[in-house]
Amino acid sequence: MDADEFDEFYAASFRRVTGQVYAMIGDLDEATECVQEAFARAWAHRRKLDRSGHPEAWVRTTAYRLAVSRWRRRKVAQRPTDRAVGAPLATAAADESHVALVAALKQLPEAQRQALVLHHIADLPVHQVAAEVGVPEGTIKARLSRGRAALATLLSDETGGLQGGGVSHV
Amino acid sequence: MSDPMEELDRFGSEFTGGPMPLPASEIRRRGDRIRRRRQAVIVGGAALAVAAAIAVPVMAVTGSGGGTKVPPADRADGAGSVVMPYDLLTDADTVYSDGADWFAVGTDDADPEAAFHPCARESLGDLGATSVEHRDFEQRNTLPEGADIEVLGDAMHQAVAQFGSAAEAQAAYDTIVGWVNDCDGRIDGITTYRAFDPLPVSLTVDGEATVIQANYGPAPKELDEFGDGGYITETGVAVSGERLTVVRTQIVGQDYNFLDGTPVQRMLPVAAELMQPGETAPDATPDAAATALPDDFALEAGWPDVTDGETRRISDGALLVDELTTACGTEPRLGAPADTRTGILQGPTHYAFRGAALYDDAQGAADALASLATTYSGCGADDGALTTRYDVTPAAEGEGWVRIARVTTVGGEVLEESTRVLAAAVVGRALLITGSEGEGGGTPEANDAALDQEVTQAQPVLEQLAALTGEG
Repeated sequence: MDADEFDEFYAASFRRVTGQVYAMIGDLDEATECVQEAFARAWAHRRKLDRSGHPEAWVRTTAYRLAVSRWRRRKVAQRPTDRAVGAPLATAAADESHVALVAALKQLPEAQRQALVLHHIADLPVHQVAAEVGVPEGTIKARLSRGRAALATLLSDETGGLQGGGVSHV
Repeated sequence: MSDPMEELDRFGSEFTGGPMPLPASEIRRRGDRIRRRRQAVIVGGAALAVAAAIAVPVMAVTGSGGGTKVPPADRADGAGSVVMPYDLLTDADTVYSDGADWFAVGTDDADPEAAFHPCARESLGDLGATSVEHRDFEQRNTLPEGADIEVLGDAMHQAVAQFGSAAEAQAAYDTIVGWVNDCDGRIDGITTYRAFDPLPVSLTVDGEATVIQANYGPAPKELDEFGDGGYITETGVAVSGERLTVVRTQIVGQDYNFLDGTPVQRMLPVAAELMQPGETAPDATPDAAATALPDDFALEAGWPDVTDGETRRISDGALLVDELTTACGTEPRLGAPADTRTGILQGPTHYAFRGAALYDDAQGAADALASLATTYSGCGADDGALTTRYDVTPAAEGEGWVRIARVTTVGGEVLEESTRVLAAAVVGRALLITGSEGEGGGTPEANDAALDQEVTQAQPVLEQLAALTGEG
């Protein structure tokens, strides 16, 4: 992947991957930062990226792991001041209906949320979700089934559902 | 209410987020900096000279002046009373991250007064150590494309010390941990110092250990061209009985999150195990034979010809391949082979690798094989729904293959997923590891068939190793 190809890849994928990671972790600023960092690492490891055959999946997985790792680390220590990419971000607020959906997703177990996002938002078939998460297809199907049921319950608890902007409890 | 699946789909198609915070060119520039840092050290006198020059300002601040000089330990005192080079980490024990690792560049024996940490206010000798070993490591890129990248000052140092009593060792441990936590204003040229909460460490031996991360700066401009980095350090301290070890890594750059534990978190338990008295004395009389795998050694022998869609590569370097050796979160301890070679065969639906290692003596190879088997025997994972284990079948008496197969179960029933197997054998002072992963299977029957194929195909390689080591 040369510079032009990377720039094209970045332009085409950044917002999409950011949205997916946002849905997985529930924090748009954090998602944006982690996706930036993941793209920087992707350029640093572009040979590996080429070999992977699925560069967007590579970036998404890296960004998600970074987000989880950073969150876990913040639980035990204050963040160091320096970061690989830029200063802390303050991204424009997301659409309210999206905020409500993400808020509902945040209440699901991490594994179910990840499966739902990859299958329904990233539009990956079940076998690709299984490959990306590293578990068998049957496990993904079970997580999707349980996640859908739980999400439906959560959304039905929202006053007026998501129509008209929904109710944010973020 | 709306259909939640429709909401998810709509999110996927409608979500646009805000503007991209950074242009692609900036992302690439940042990526290039990450790359330069990871590919930091190149082999060559000029590069090593630069690395040494960089290391001096940091290590020279150690307060080792004054105090009582401790005479060199008498190595005839017997095992356990002095520490030895084999009590230290070796290249095979060190870890960093993908694309980079630590490599020993020198060992300094029996100098308790030597600098061991920039925050130390006294030497280990001053703290009561009667015998000390030091080893310096440099970071090298482990990918072949990184040989032309400049040095940027990453470094690792380990010290192992013997004390007169467990109480003295424990007191030294407490003192050193205190020094590292309270180091602000004590390093020349450093204006900001920040130590973080200690990270947990799980020792496999009796004792106590901790890892302290500390970031400080500024780093000199020759190390940090953009002025936004600093010294990112980890200090691991472990005490067990009368012995203590300090492992310190220093990266010049920016903070990174390590997804599977920090490097020092992963190395410190190994360091604590290695420093146990009398545990790792090597055979002093290595076999007289070749010290390297010959150029015409055919590691790929027995593999099928490469077809469309497949790639095959043979390289020197790391013996193990991450995909097949980090399943347990712990790498087997494969000692310090004199030479290694690795082969990868990769296709759309399968992946195979081989690793050959030549040791100085037969015990080294046997120990490595034993560690491999032990690691996988103790490996297992249970995420609540799935249980993964590795079935390890020991080698037959005298000679044979250790066979390792992954088995995943759900509710006690074997789950049919991919087939992942590993086989290893020792011949003379050589170790051969072969492994594969392919789509489908995962049952005991599929695992056995895959192992039979691995062993059969690897036989020509084993025969080469037998001839090389005089066992043929």
